[in-house]
Amino acid sequence: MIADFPHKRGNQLLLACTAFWLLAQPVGILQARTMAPEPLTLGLALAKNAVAPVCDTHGNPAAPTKSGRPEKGRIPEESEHRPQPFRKYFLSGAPLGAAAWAKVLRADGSNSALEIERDGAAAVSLPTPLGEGPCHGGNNVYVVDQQVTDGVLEVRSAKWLTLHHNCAWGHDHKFDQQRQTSQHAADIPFEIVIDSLWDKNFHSDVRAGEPLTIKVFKDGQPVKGAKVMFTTAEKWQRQTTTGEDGASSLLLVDDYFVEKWPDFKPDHRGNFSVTAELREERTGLFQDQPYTAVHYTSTFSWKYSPAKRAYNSYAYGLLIGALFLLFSGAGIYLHRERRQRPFSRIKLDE
Amino acid sequence: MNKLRHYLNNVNLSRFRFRVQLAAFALLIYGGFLALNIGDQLPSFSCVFDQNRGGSCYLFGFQHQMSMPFSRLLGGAGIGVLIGLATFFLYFIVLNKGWCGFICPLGTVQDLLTRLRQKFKIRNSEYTEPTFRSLKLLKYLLLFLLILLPMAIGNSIFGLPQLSHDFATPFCMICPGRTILPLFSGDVSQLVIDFSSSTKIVLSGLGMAITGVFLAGAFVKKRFICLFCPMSALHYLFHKAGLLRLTKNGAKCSRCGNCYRACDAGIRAIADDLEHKNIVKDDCMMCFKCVEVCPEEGCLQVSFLGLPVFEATSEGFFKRMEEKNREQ
Repeated sequence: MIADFPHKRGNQLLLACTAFWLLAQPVGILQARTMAPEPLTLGLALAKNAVAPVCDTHGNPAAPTKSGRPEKGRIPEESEHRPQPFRKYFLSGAPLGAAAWAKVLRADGSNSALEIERDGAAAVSLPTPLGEGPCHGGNNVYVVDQQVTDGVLEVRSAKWLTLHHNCAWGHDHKFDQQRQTSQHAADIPFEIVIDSLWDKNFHSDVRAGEPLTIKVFKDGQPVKGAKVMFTTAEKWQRQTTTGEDGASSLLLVDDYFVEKWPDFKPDHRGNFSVTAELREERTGLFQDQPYTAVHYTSTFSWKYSPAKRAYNSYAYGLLIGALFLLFSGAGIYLHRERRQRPFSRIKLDE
Repeated sequence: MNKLRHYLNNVNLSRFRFRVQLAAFALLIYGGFLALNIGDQLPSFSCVFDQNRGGSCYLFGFQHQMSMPFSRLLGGAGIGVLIGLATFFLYFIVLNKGWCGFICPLGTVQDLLTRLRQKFKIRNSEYTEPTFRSLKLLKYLLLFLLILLPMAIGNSIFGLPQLSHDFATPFCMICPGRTILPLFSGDVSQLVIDFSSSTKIVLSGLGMAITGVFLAGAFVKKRFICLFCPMSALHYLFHKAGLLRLTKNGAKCSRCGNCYRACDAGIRAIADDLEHKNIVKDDCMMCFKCVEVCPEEGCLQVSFLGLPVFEATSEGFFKRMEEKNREQ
């Protein structure tokens, strides 16, 4: 009895706390006072029946405006093999503050401001003219929002990388360092950069089981001590912290499994998202509102394919190659031996 | 001018060709390291699977283009196919089938294997004439299949079900260039069996089997794989437009057979044909060894744009023979 008493009291206390929390949820008491705004995330949505507008920075695109080939019965997805002349990305994690802004850092390094559509679902859209041009390669789309909440300056940024390529446009940029590496912008307050997202031919080249190096930049400089949360679509998670060089690395979990082998698709694309977070205790004013700390968050999403070793075998390949080499060599040797006539001395009949 | 012609006719062309081959090999296999890319419609096996290549084989893109539905192929996209073919043609006519003899990296690999065999003093293999005549037809069959199979991906041919996309580049999957050439830049990723689908298993298995046969075959038979090369078949369709030509004056031929014995491809017609002026056959790779060993004045001649650049002379023949004897 004595032993049971504190245990029971503990249960009652827990029950009371839970009841208070459940009641507080709909009223918003706890949320309003302690929860920061959700991180901003940019998501994919291709505008239907879109017509490519004139690019505001580079003038009238000389390239055709015809969209890529949507496959029959399939919602067109963003793919480097199916480039679209016009892209639209929707934001989640809103509401946005009045100071929110957006821009695109194009493959050739040029920048353009983007307008945030706030009617209905918040979204940004941009023209990506088809053909060889400034957009051929990786284009970084950013949305940045800053607002003071409960004395904390919330700096949220969302990034989407648009790989805009078609093999018919050529692969001359494979020697262009600017277009071959992931870029970061100095005017973006907080940003995630992941190395080696695509190969030299602008094909996405992230595979399960391979190391992924995630770098976090603050105002264009690598930042130490940022928390990085990595999540796959199957909800596998891993959290790391950036080191001195603003980088942290992890192995990309392999979470694509099939019941039967014939169902296996080597071109399967899984999605992952990375969220970086950093809190700095410093005071200041933002739009005449004082704050005592700055809370940075940034998100970035990408796709990955199954590991090649899941469906490729060197052992069988080399075995077959070696066996055929051996049998061919033996066959040639035996054939030659068979055709060799034994030496016979010619005897002249005296 | 006469001095220059005299010098050229006495030159050791095999040595010159080998140097050109090595330079072309370096350019096409390692060109990417120096940001060099001479084109993606080359009439030569410069494999696209080599990430550091300095140019790409036309057959890869051509097979991809053939997988388009007929509606697109005969529409706007057909213009792209024609542009690709025209670019290939422009590259091709410059060197004609000399692309095989002077440029092709897979040809160079075979020539290196031949040199290795010669070091080991192992004798060369040759086909009998009937075997040669039957085997040479295989390249046309391969050319036909590399067009037909991708076409059956985007279209229903003869009402048959469409093929899987795994057949998009069927020839590349079985080409030894795919498995061998990337090895020279340290890429071993092609030496695998791809188990992702039954088609891939068969094609990659066939690719590795052919690689094994290629290594054994090219070691004992000069230019072993060239006899089956569909690129060579494609070349032959355009060879009459080539600016580089090999001609024969049948009236000067003494039928000594030197040219046939020197021919790496084993083309008998080079010695037997006394009627045709244009002596380039479908298996010829324009290595011009036949011209080097021909002792008859002006019997065999190499010309570019109608201008003679190298021709058979007795002086050149004896000079080269003396050189060879000294080396031995």
